[in-house]
Amino acid sequence: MISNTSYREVSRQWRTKINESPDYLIVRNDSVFRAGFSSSYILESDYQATRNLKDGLMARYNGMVVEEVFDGTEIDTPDGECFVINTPTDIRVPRPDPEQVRKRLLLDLTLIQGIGPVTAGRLRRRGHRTIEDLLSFRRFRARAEECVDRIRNGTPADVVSLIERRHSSSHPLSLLASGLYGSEAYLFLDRETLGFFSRPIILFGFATIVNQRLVVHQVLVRKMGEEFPALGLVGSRMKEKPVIVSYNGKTFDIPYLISRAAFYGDMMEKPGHHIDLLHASRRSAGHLVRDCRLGTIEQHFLGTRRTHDLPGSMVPEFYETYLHSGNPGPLVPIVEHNLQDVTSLGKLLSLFLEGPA
Amino acid sequence: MTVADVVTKFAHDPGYCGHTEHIETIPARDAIHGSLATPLPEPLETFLSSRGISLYTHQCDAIESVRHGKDVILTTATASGKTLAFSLPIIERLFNEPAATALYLYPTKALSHDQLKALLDIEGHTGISLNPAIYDGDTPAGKRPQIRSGSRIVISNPFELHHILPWHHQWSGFLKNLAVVVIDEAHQYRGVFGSNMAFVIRRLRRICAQYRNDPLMFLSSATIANPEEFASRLTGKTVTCISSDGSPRGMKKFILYNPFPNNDPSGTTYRESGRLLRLCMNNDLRMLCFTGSRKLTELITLQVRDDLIRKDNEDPSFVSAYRAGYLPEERREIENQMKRGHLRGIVSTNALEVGIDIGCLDGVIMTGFPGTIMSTWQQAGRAGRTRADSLAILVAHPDPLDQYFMNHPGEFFRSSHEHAIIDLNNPYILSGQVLCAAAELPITPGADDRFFGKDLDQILMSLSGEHLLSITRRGYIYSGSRRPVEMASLSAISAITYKVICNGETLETMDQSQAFREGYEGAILYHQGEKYLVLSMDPDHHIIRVERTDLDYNTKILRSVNVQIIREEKDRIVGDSRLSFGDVSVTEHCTSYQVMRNDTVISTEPLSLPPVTFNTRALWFVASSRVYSEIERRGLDPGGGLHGAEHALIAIMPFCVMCDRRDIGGFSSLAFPGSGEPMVLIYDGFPGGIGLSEHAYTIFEEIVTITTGLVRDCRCETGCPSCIYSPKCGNDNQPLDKEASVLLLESLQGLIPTGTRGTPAPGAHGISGENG
Repeated sequence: MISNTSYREVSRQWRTKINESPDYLIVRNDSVFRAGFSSSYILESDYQATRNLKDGLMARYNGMVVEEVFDGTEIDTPDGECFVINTPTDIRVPRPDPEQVRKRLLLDLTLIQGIGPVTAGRLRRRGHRTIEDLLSFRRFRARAEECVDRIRNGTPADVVSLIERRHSSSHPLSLLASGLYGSEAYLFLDRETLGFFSRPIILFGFATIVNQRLVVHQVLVRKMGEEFPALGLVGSRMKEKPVIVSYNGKTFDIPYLISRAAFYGDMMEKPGHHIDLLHASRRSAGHLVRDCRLGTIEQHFLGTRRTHDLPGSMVPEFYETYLHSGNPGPLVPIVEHNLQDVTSLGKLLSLFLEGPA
Repeated sequence: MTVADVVTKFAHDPGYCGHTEHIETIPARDAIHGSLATPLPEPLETFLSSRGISLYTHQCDAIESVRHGKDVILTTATASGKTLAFSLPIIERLFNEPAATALYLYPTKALSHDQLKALLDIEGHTGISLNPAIYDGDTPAGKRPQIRSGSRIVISNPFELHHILPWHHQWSGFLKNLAVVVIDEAHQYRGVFGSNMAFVIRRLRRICAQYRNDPLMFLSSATIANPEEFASRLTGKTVTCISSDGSPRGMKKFILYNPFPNNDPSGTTYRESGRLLRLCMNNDLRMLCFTGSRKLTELITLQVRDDLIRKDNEDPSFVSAYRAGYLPEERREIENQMKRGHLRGIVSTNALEVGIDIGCLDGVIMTGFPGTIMSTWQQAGRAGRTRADSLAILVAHPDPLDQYFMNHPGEFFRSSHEHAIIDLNNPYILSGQVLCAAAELPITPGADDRFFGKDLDQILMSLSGEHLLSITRRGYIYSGSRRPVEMASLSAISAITYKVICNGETLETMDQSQAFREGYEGAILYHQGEKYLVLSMDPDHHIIRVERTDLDYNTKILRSVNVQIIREEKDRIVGDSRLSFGDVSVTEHCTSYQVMRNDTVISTEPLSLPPVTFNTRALWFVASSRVYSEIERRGLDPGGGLHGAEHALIAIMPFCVMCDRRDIGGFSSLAFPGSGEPMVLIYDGFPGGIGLSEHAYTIFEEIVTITTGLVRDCRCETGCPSCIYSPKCGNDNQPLDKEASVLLLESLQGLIPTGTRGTPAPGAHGISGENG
């Protein structure tokens, strides 16, 4: 048995096993009731459409290489080469006027420890509209002074930590306060992987704001050896930008990045300030939508509906097809899907910043 | 009445003495206390003296070993204070090094809970902060982070460890400071499970090495023939054995009791067991009776209750069945009833051999040989845990090993023959575990050879060929889309495994050939002594659905086996023959099955299963021409000789190479395919082999000697279920020739009677095969 042939045969059996049992469940006849409690299911009609999509892409991109299909640049990092696709967009992310932000924050009496919504209401009815108005109360003076000072003169980080002392980080005021960093401070982040955990990341999408416009950068892992340098590249960008914006990144993206770095024997730290738009969306619309998947939320807030979008659960299969065949076709919808996700982060944040607080 | 009075009955009472084959006296032994080079930390010394504990020699040896950083396996008897032997030095280490941690691995959850209680007790009395906690599938998600960061002793099991290793960064603090890994009940990690476990431990060690740590391994095990070799294979480290037992014990009388003396077929093991249980109970002994199944447990309990009323005019509630899943309070209640003397007998399945802990027992009855000598002693050790005299009775089945012990008590009481086998070369296990490891840390060929062996390079290349691994600057990484720890089961061997499902719950997994042999529609299947009926087999999704049943019949598969030798790896001369070992290809075709009630075939049902071919490892030998002509000269049947020798060798093998009889298969033929020679071949019943026939190859003389004794000394005339008949024979035990079998076995020992060469008249018999 200890011969090369037998290891090859055994390896083939493992491959068969993976192909025969994907991570998703196909729901026959699109009957959603059959999905049961499975978290990642796919309707049969979508599944068929996706299969056709893949076959079509394979035919169209047959014989081409990744670099011909995607307009990317190769970047050298200390850990090896990365392939980055830059896509400027016309999405404007407003930069809130810091003076207005600070003014708005001063209106929230509950920022003072000891004042809850009920007391705040009573105080407002009596004409005390801003924290500054409370300076005349002996009971609140000391705390109000500290608060006013931090809001008027503090660094963005000071202000944010003040707000988060009283509100969750997905509270509209927290989002607003993060605007004090300036829009250049945001890093929007999303990634595509081969599965839920302990498998490689195959595409890192992140976006920054340049001249108030969103620019998306996608690091595409062309071969597995590029995951590690890509992690390093994204990690260093995260260090430069103080505010990370994600969708469900607190429970998923960031722990995933940390675990992948640990896999390669490296330490990666949690971001200092993290806006998780899933939490913000759930807070403002959770009761109005059937689920809080990004696509559903987009539809609710932005009115856009994705057509021909690749279901997230099919990403691993498409990528594996690329890996086996070298045909870049199946990567096209993955890159597109990820681009849409990242731009949606920018749009959603704009909406929350502009919207009624 | 005392143990001695009851033993007298066995020796002289005409109702029993005819069946008593042997009475062994295992003398009492006084405690041998030891001393330590330096005392334990003061809180521990105070704890010990408050409990009146003075350390035995083996406990002192264990403590000194850990102090000197030696990896050890402790093999002293049940109830010799093994837990204390490893917990004391570990707690000492944790006391001296405030950051140090320890990991305790147990094969079952019940044992984890007992261990947690013991540790909490020590923590409470010494004030040494251990925060011991169980971390397994039942641990709520909310408690997990706190255990990972705050517990200094984590108690878990191999399945949980297998799943948490990919999350090692969450455990970095614990793993960096991991001082000792305890592997208790280590003897349970043998065969397929053990071979997988060996790599789970290597994966743990590889991750610890990444955190610049190399934890000590402390194994605790029942007695086996090869403790050092076994422990070293399991852990990948050089392990020394501590076996000299300083604990005291009372005198034990061990009775070998045969319901089938002189092959009397009228006896019944379980009826005799019940009768002996009553005899002991009526003489005021508190007894525990082990049986092979739940059904038998019920039967014996009912029979004893009935006889207590009708024959003895006694209270039937003197005896009670003990089943799995009793709560600790219920266990205590039973124990209390035992102590108060109202309850005198408990009947239980073998499944409770570990974990059942009822002190104050006077004796144990075993209904049939429990399968290994190791289990036998563990069961016997359940009685007389205090220093009083105790009794152990083995009631024999008509099976070959049981009967062999009845006829050869010396062998039974001799030091262990049983080798616990771990195979580090099975390509299925190895490649599956390499996949798991590659999802934990990149694998570097060369550097990681010390964990995965010299074939690592080839395995990495093969897996990369399927894009399951990819090469990066940091080494090979996993690049498949499914979690490898989900794909690589610890208890199954091949990539394709069938799940046996009862009411939505998975009972066990089987590889394909085993599924076809045992899981066909209509089959009666046994799992942990419970009887199940197979409702359906789904070959597309690899699912076997079963339900619990009380049907009174059993089923037996009929099938043809074909074996082809692929490659001979090594060979040597054994007696008059050449013994070979190598790779073979086995094709099994299950064609029909028999429905049997007792030993009668009621019907034969056809099956439409495709043949299954798998490659495995085997040993084989050719009958020498000298013995062949001697067999013919005496007018015996050479085919029956080969077939009988094959069956007997397979019956004895589990006694030397610890395994289940169904783990090995056999094949014999007068004209072996390819060579045309008269041959016997014994193979591992798992794809890729699991080291059984390989080990048997090295100790073949020992196996042959015992096998010859079994067949030659069996009191039957022409072969019987106690020697050369096989319950699993796919050819319905045809043909068989006892005398020819003995001649053949003797020729393997070089004991060939010389005779004149007769005219060759080969029998018409072709192929025979056995497998379970």
